[in-house]
Amino acid sequence: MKKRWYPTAPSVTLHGMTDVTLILEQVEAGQIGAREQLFEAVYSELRRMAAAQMAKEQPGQTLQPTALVHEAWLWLVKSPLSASTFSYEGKNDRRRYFFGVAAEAMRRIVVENARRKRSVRHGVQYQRQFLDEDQLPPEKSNELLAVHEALDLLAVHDPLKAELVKLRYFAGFTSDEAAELLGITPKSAEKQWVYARAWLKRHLSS
Amino acid sequence: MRPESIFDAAIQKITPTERAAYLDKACGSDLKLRQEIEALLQAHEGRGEFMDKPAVEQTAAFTPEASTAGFSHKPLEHIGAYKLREKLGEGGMGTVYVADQKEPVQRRVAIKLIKEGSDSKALLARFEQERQALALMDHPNIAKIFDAGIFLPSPGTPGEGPGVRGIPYFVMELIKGVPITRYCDEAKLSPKERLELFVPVCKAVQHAHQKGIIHRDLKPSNILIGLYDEKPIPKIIDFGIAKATGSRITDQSIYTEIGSLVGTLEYMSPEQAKLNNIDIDTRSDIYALGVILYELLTGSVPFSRKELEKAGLGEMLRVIKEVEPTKPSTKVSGSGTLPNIAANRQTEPAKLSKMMKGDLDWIVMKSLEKDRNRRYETANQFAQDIDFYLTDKPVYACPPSAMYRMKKWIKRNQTTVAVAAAVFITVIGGVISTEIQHSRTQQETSEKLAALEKLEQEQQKTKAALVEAKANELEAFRKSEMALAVQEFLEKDLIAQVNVFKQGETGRKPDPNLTLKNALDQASLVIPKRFADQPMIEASVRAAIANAYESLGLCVEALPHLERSHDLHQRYVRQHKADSTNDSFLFDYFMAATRLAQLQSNMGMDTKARAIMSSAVEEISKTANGDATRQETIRRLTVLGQPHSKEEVEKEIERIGNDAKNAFAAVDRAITQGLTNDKPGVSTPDKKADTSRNNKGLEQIMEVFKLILAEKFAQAEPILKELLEKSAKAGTVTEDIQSFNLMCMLGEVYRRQSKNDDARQILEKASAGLKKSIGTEHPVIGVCKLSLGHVLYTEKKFDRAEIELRDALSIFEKQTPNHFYLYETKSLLGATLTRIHPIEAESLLKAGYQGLKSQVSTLPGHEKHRMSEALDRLIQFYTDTNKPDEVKKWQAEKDKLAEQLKKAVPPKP
Repeated sequence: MKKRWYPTAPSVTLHGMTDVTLILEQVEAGQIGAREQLFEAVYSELRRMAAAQMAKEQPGQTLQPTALVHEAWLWLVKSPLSASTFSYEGKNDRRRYFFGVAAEAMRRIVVENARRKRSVRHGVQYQRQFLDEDQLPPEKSNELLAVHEALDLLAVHDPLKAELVKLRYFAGFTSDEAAELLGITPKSAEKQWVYARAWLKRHLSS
Repeated sequence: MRPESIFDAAIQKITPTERAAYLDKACGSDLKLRQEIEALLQAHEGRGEFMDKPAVEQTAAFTPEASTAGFSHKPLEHIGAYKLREKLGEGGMGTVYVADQKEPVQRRVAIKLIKEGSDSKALLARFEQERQALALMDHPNIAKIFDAGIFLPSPGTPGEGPGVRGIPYFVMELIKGVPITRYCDEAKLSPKERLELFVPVCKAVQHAHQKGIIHRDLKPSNILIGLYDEKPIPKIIDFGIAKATGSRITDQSIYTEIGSLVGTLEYMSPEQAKLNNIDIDTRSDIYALGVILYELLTGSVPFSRKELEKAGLGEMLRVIKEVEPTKPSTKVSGSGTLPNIAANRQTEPAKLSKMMKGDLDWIVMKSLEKDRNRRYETANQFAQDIDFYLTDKPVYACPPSAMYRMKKWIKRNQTTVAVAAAVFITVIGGVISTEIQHSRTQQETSEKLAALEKLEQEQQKTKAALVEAKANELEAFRKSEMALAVQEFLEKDLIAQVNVFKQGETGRKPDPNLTLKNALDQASLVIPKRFADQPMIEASVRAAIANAYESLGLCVEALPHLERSHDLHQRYVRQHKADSTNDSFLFDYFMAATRLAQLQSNMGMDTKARAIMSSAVEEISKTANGDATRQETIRRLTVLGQPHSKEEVEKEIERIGNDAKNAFAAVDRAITQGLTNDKPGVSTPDKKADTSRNNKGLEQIMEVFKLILAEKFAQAEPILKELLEKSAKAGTVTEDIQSFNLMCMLGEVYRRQSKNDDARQILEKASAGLKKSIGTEHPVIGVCKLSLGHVLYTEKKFDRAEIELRDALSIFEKQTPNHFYLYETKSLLGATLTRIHPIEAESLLKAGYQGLKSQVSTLPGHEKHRMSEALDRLIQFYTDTNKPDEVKKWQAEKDKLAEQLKKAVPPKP
């Protein structure tokens, strides 16, 4: 493993996720638990950014998850630690890996949020949250949770399609962007999407 | 086959039967597979809105609650001496609450709490920086900071050991306000009021910049408008991601850098959009200010969030970095919600766009330059330029493209033409004066600036002259220095620039089609306004413009100016009849009429031309001192080709010839008198010399006419040569055209003497010269080419004759559609084509003859021979093509015509 060249930078205390490059290197080196570490880092950063961004928005406006994930990526490539080893156009494997993790993190955020909303709707905080509630149509949050559950099944069946759904559905990438990240043609991405969607629909209604 | 492939193929089948057939084939006996596919297909068909949009896109997935969960389960009520009240909102790094301060003063404040991970050093560092930054600033338009600290929920716990959650906070001025854009729309502020409100914002930003602080996230929601004593005051809030420049970079500030992508997309400067660029300076704020101003003026940002987010991130950043935003004036005029936008600004749609054109466009575009070196250097400069705009002073901003255009324009035209043409325009309209002014502010040491300087001097001079002229009264301007100056300037400085000979000397090529015509067109538009109370100056200027147009071969454009000039003169003479003791009034009127009639005649409007001249004669003969001019008028009338017989014309010329000396002497006297009467200071000898020289020339031309009519070509020849020599020396544009005219006449004289070589040479020379000096469209060129074609035809050089004649034909068709020259050309071209293209030849010959015949009543006596010549050509054609019947038919026609002409022309005594 590459030796740290920035001796004084504390890797954990800095900011949950400063050393993603380092973690990525650990992932590449096959270190156990590195992926989980990366996921936690990306997840917490995404949440922080999402919250910050939402706070700035006018009520009623919605969040662009893609922008968020991209920001996380930018945050990563802009980090002084990674400046020498990374660029936006950089190694595609690393990019794909990162976005895969980020999409998974996005999924968790979205799902957690939907669950929280749901519990809020039925729970004690109902009154307090009443005014905010109209923003999330229940059928959509149901769909979201159902897809989330069926997706694990799809991942066993066809990991690539599950990845595609994560990128498109949970992280909000366009079909073409997802295709590029997955290294498949846009046409193939679209075909697989249609199939995956039908598959998910079939399996959540059964 | 995999289920997926079967599924893919099946959804391509449109009808159920097709699909069923396909599935039968693909699944065969595999019932389970078939069921699976059908279930998938059913799901596909019934998908409705299932997963049609990304899960989070339409849900408020990230409400503040989601992130402040840490706080919500143990709500805070007090932070030190501050009692928290309702939440105001969430900034980039914390939650803002309204709070009541108890001591030392009771007041309501805003308190900002760092919301999460307060044990993170990065956040603490950022907080520390923000606190320091804000403490440095003291400006009425920036929210004040009162206090800052770290709140420990369980007091007494020392330091910040593991597990201790300190909440950094700071207390700032509570701004009861709304975002600047919202305020402006709700208060329906006019664009001017918006600008006035915007200026202090710039100044506040300047203040921060001077303290080494960059906001980096300027946007309307960070610029609040509060009402203080009923007066709207802007306050900039949330220097949350401000970063000190220069030496103040501490090791904390690096964390600001890596925290997140700073800035909000719509207001993000191109340099902020660069992925690897952390080099952001005060000019990024200028850009954001520019976007805000843009939004204030037009109601939308240059690139909307929607637009940006439709594209992927890379494209989004590319747009910010590379795409030039639409100019505000264009944006407004193209906006579908224009009436709304205008109403919010207390104005009308058309006015709004017009108002933004020019200065405002430039100011906004300068602040939005992609290259930050081209933006305003400071926020103050930005503010100042807006001030300049508001006080009608010239603004600093200038459109790069306009400067570029100006430079290109000058380069294209070379200095003299540019100076002359530009001065010309500015004299009359000041149309481009703004551009010149702006180009000056660029302060570039370019060689072109010298030209511009000169241009401006000229402009000043002429402006002074115009002011002077306005002061003088009617009688003064007529032959005053000013009138002469204007005219001389137009004739010599401007129009001479398209003079081919002078151009040739300096190796320059005129670019008449583009610049001069444009210059003239623009100038024409402003004449009525510019010379509203100065009819005689207007007349002179119009005559000059007509000359210029005509010298470009633009007869149609020249005509209205000459008409107007003539009308003005006529009106003037009529109004001043009682006191018109001065012949020069009349002379000018007469000249104006002549010029108009000449052009009309050239354009085949002989009837009109004659009417003009007749009324001029009538008008002049009514006056006491009209003798001299009457003689001249009559001469002109004859030259213009009254349908007199050859003999009549000859007689007339003879008669005038006898009176000529007296007549011209009178004119001469009148002019001299006029000059000395009106302006004693003007040196008359030159003018006098000019006049007498012209008079001599006129006499000679008359002699030539006479000789040509008498078909004494050999005698006309030396006089023409002499005239030509003189004319070439004079070198003015008018005389250049005159000399080409003379060349054409000489060529015709040669031709009639069958001196074909001489004729061809001089006509070729005239043709080339004309083409260079007045383009390819002027009727004179048509006449020249017709003669040349005639020569070549006689020499049996049919292919070359065809080229010349076709040129002539196209000129006449455009410029003088009903002139006998057109028909003559058709006839001759027909003859030329006899062997090459007999079908076209026949129709041309017929059309030519018929056309001439249709003009028999108006055709001048000495031109009637063209008719019989055309008929001869027709007969020759049928002879050559062996059509004896036709020959016979047209022979009869010829006899009839001869009879007719005999009747019309009384035999010589």
